[in-house]
Amino acid sequence: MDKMQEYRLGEFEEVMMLLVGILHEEAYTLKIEEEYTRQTQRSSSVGAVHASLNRLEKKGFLKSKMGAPTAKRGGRRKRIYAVTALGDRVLNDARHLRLSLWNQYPGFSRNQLGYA
Amino acid sequence: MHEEIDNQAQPPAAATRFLRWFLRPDLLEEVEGDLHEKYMDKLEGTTSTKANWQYWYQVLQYLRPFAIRQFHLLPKINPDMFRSHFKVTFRNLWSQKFHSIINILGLGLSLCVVFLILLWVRDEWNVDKFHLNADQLFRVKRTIPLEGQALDVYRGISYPLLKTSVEEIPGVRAYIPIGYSHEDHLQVGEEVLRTKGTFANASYLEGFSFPLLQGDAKQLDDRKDAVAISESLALRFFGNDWRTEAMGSTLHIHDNGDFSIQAIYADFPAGSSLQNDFLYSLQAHLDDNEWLMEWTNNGMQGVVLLQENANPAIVQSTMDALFKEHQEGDLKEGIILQKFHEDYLFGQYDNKARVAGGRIEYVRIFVVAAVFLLIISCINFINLSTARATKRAREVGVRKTIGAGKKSLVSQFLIESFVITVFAVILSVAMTVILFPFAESLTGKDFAISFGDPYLYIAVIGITVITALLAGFYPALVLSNFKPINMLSSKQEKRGGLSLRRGLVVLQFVLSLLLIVSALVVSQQVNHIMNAHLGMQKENLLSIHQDELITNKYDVLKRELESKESVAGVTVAGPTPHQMLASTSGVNWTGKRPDQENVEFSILWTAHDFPEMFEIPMAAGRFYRKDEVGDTTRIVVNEKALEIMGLEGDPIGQTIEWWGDPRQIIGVLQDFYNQSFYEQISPSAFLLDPDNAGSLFVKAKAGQVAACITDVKSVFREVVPEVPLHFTFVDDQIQSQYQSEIVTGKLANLFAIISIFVSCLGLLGLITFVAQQKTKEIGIRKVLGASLPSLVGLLSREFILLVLLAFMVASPISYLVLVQWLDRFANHVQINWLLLFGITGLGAMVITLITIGFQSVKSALANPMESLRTE
Repeated sequence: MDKMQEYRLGEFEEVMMLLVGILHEEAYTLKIEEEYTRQTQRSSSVGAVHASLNRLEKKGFLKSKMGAPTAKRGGRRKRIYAVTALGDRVLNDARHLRLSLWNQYPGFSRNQLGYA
Repeated sequence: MHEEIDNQAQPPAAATRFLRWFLRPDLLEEVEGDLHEKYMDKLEGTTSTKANWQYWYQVLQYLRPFAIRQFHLLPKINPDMFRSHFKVTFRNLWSQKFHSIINILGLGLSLCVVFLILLWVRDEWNVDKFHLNADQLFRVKRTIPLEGQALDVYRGISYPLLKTSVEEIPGVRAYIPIGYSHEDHLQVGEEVLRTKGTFANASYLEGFSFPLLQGDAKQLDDRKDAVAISESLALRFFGNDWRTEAMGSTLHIHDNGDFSIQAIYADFPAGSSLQNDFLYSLQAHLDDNEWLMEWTNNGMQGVVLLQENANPAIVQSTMDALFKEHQEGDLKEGIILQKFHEDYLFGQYDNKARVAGGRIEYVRIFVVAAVFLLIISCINFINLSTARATKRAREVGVRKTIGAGKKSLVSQFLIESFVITVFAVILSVAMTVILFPFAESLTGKDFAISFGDPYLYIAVIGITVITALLAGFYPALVLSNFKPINMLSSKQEKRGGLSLRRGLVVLQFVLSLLLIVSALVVSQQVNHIMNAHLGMQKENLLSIHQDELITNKYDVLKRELESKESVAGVTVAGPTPHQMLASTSGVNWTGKRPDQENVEFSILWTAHDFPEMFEIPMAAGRFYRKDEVGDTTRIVVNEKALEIMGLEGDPIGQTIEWWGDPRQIIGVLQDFYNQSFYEQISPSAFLLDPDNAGSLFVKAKAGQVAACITDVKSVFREVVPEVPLHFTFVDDQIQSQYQSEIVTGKLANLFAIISIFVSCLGLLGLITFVAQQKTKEIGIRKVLGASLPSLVGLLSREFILLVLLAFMVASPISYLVLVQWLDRFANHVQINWLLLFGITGLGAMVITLITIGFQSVKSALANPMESLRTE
């Protein structure tokens, strides 16, 4: 259990990781922020997203490399994030924890939740 | 046009600049890219203004710990370098003991004065601000229209106005009469004490924040015989049992009768301008002084407490209108309100009834003096440091060669300045603590200072930092700017900041001279006040409060006293001849102009022998005669009154109307100072009424004051044993009237001495340094046959010129400032400016010569062998 605590993700962090995975090659800060706003309908800022990504990278859940520059960016490169193996495991742990909790929750069966 | 702009649109440059300034450099590219992209996206959908706002928003959102680069406010502190800086600092302080001592001593002395002044200023600033209702307490003042639009402002107001305002003016919660705190004899049982008090109503304790310890303030309103006393008075009368014994006991107030103690209040705090040990029922006072109940009498002072939501301006105009309703005539008096606590510092008005100053002027004078002193000692520091720069130049050169950056050098020198300042602050705090009681006795007030006050610590730390930066910044900059190549190779050392140093020496002496000249003028004015011929005799006069018992036995007392060898004479007069506080506008004469309607005549009630006792000569006619029955309905005036009335022909024998009755003028007394020195002599009338004068005056023969006191005591014990004898000397009374001026005079002298001392310390440091530098030059000159005077001249010429220049700058400035200050006194000393500046200039020159002379003679006398051998 002690080990779990180190890996525990915040809700925002979890969403960030998922978005990085979903966006794949397009996973750079601005895109992630836009996608977050679009999907959750919540407003955030580039800075806030960046702070979270930065923290996750420091923990080793994400890695990044510099991508290609575009004219729209005034000729500047973007930083593209990707989920690391450790990140994958942490995401999985988070998912399992949630599922197991949902399974214990009265009135909800596996079927109702739409899982096979 | 728009299209084009949009195509080439760039995010706001200021935002980008800001971002570049604070963002971690390694993040810059991606962040700028992201934000730029977002900006371009935004532009497509909306206006550029909105896009700009959004860009700014995103930039500000990057103000997060992870994204902000490291800032070095001070050079990055490396513990080892830090230790090394300290080590070098202490080595330098030690090896340059003389300079270090001059620096620390000069700075410490000035800081001590600065701290004491800060304490005093804080104390003055907080007077009367402790009342919980401080913002709703307003002093009611009366304006009197004079000739030609001018207005005079008085604190005396009509009691019915005060009382009615609570009933008729919305927004007024309560009125608080403020009585004159007078010393009186109090008696409980057999015990007699003398202390200060006055009359009051319940609002006095409740409207002001004077907490009750026992009893009920309401009793002051309900019972005519109620009195409230302070805790310390209760303690003095009833000892430690006062809590159980005091309430309900009978307190006899001499002259006022018996009162019952109905309340005990905590002692008024030191920060209160009101200080009373007993408060007796207002009603008792009103009963004894029925004339106070008239609308036209202005013998009351007071404060109104407003509701929290009341608008003071509206209350003021309503009160003004109410007051005017009860007056007749064309030139009606008005009412203005002033916050109660502002009355203390801002109590003076100009002739348009606008606040013109007051005690705040002393606060300002002292703050300026403190700033001057601080600047003077900072200049010492700067001068000594930059002068020594050449000595430190090699050190700087070596450090730079080894690779020290400019920042590291700046921090080295700033640390030195901080260390010196901290030493100076420690010294000055120690001195401040030692001198604190002295400062209290000098200023004649108890400081309401608590050493737990955070303000004190903030002030001390703030001053330390400011001083250290002020003194250390320039030297640090100069020293760290040296080019190592010059420092190490060439022997032709560049003397950095010579002209600046000269400028600073001049500035320093300008400030010192300003302080000295001001001190001389202030003390001359104070002496002038103290010794001025008032137009009457004030020496050897004992003043004794005249109560009923004395009045009843006056004839016996006078006879007995005058039979004594030591007594020159006895008379009565009141209130006091040197400050005639009572006045009236109820005087009419033929030819009185309408704009003279409100001319106030001061009144002195006295006896027939008043002029001889006070040695005031008659200008015309005669004074009252002892047994001339008709004299009580005649009148004597002073010259000023005659001038104002402008009667045609011989005034003696003419009739004027006094309080509705005709009175014949029988004499005119020569003018004497009957008001404070800030004011003109007022038109006055002297009325014959020995029974109600107010004070008994006993004049001792010159040199027999002690004997006279003994005689007065024995006569009183014999004739009026019930009267507790208390007397003061008239010249002491006059002195206490000018307490502020006397304190200012003393402090100004002190500042002047300290400032010239500190300036000379600096000069001493500089000349020592110059002499050291010129050792070799002097040696060579001596070998070539230069005479001693020419060598001394070589060393001191420059400094003498600088002091002369300072003198030329300081004289006109001080002249302008001081003439203005003196103008505030209606009666001021005639200054012989030429003589004053002559003395100051000469004095400054002599002190400068003494300071630098010793060192220059020493250097000039030195054996050239010694100086030339040193290499």
